[in-house]
Amino acid sequence: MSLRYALHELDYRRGRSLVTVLSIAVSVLSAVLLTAVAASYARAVRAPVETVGADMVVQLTGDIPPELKGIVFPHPNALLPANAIAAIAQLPGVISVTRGVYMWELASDHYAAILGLADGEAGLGSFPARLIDGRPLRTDDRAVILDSDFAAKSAFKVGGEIDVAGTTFPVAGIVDAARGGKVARADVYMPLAAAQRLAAAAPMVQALYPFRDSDANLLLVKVDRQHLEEVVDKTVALLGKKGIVSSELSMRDALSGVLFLSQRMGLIVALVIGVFAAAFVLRATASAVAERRRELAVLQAIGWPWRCVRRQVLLENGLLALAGVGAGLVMAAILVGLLGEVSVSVELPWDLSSTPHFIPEATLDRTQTITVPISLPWETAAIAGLGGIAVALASAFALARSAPAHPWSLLRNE
Amino acid sequence: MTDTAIQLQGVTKRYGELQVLKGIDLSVPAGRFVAVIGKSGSGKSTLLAVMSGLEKADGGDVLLAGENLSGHSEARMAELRRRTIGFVFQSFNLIPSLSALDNVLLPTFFDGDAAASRARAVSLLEQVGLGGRLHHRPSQLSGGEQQRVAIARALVGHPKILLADEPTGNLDAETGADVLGLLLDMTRINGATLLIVTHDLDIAARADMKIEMKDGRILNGHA
Repeated sequence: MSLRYALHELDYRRGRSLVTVLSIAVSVLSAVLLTAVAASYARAVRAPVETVGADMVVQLTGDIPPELKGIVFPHPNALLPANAIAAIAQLPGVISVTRGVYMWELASDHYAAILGLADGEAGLGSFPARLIDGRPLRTDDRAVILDSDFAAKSAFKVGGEIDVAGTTFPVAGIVDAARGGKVARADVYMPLAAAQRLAAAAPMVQALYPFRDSDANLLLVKVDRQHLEEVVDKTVALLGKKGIVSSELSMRDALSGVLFLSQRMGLIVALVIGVFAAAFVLRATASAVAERRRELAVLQAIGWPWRCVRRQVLLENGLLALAGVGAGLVMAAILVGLLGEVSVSVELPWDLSSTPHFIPEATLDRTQTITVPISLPWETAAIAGLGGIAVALASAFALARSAPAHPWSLLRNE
Repeated sequence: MTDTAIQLQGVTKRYGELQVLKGIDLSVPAGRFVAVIGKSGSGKSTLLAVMSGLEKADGGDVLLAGENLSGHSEARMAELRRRTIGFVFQSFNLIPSLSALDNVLLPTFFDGDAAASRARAVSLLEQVGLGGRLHHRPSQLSGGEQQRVAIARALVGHPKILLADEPTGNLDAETGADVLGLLLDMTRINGATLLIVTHDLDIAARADMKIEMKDGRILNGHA
């Protein structure tokens, strides 16, 4: 086996070598790039729900209160039965459940969306990262945190006070609205207990639901992502037709209008391209070996054992495969670098970001543009690379596995 | 060391229904120039193939430099060819992607001392008058030059036996005469046995021993 000979041979048949390298490269490039883009889209799909620190948001559709006055529950935020909450928390795959109370305060001169949250990663624990002024909230706090847009519009400052449904709360902090996402976005955030007390005392809540100061109307659920689909299905079954269960799965539906490539689809496309590339490499190898039967017979005549002749063909194909895989990976890395990121605009369902549409100043642009960096999927790159090399070597091995029965017939006088 | 380079005893070879060699008995003394002549289809090329182990005899024994080829594996046969035989073909059969030097080096890829192999290859190419064309590809050489490269390649492994199949068949008369002269000189210098298959009776006339074949049999063998 001679590297020098192999390199000369590949150089001598430059056109064929180039086409073979390119076909392997395109196959590897498409597999890696499609997977990279698909993975970014998949991350983008998760982003709206993940920004609240959860994998699943659970709500229940209720009714419209008789009067839109004072504290009211938006109709996608009906009272969640305590036994349903307990059952969801027990589902296999559920890591944690953060309870919340989401409500509107409607008055003749103002409107505010209020969200009370329990402690935890998806609850009060999510605020320190978003805080731009003041301090985070504790479970037993009687203070509130304001959304920066709301605070700016109403000229609230940290250290000041705000009146919510007749109760005065000190403003402990202000969070960055842009970093909060738009799922379950509120103007005023407070500890769960404080929100529960306000809701329990609200006539327009009690007119519809027997809400007690230990109840909730919103769940932020952290789920082991491997069990997400199963948990979503079981939660939907638990809550019945009125249940609203939002997750990356429901976000995919929201993305159906844009070019969306699931990881599976990306892999299928890459696989199809790979099969065509493999067929091409096989054909190229077959014709190369057929063209060189006489040359290979010469090698046998001058004393090369057939196993060495075969290794030589394998070496040549191996070099082509390495060059193709290398070129494919380099092109993929360059393209991933040039693309940098993917941006996806998702219009969130109203349920996930409910605002009273009858109050013009309260309407919220529910379109969320999510920008996700594209990164090289090393696992796919490795698989595609090994696949490319395996295809090239397998094709050479398959074609060169048996010695010609009569090499002399190729060498004798014509 | 044996005084017989090639010995065949009752060798037969059949391709399908066609019996090509019909019990060949032959002894080629070491260091001699032997010409095998005969019409097309007489079996002379097959005789060369069986002698070299590229084709296996169906029956009989083939002894090459005293070593019986029967039962040899393909790999063992390849090694024996590499160490014992040099081939020169009518159509040169050089590797088109390799330079003259690399073509000559091809049989030595399995030898340990690459520097020594290279030195010998360069020396052989100089001896055949191609010292200035070491790095030319076959397509850049004339027919006569290509056959000179093939002769150098055949001799690079210090073979005891040189088998040539119509070595001047693709060359014009003048170049053919030059190449034959070179082949004879180089064989003599290297102390090898030369067996040439040819149609050319002038070449056969210069041989130490002439073997005439017809219909798969040796008609006569004259020293």
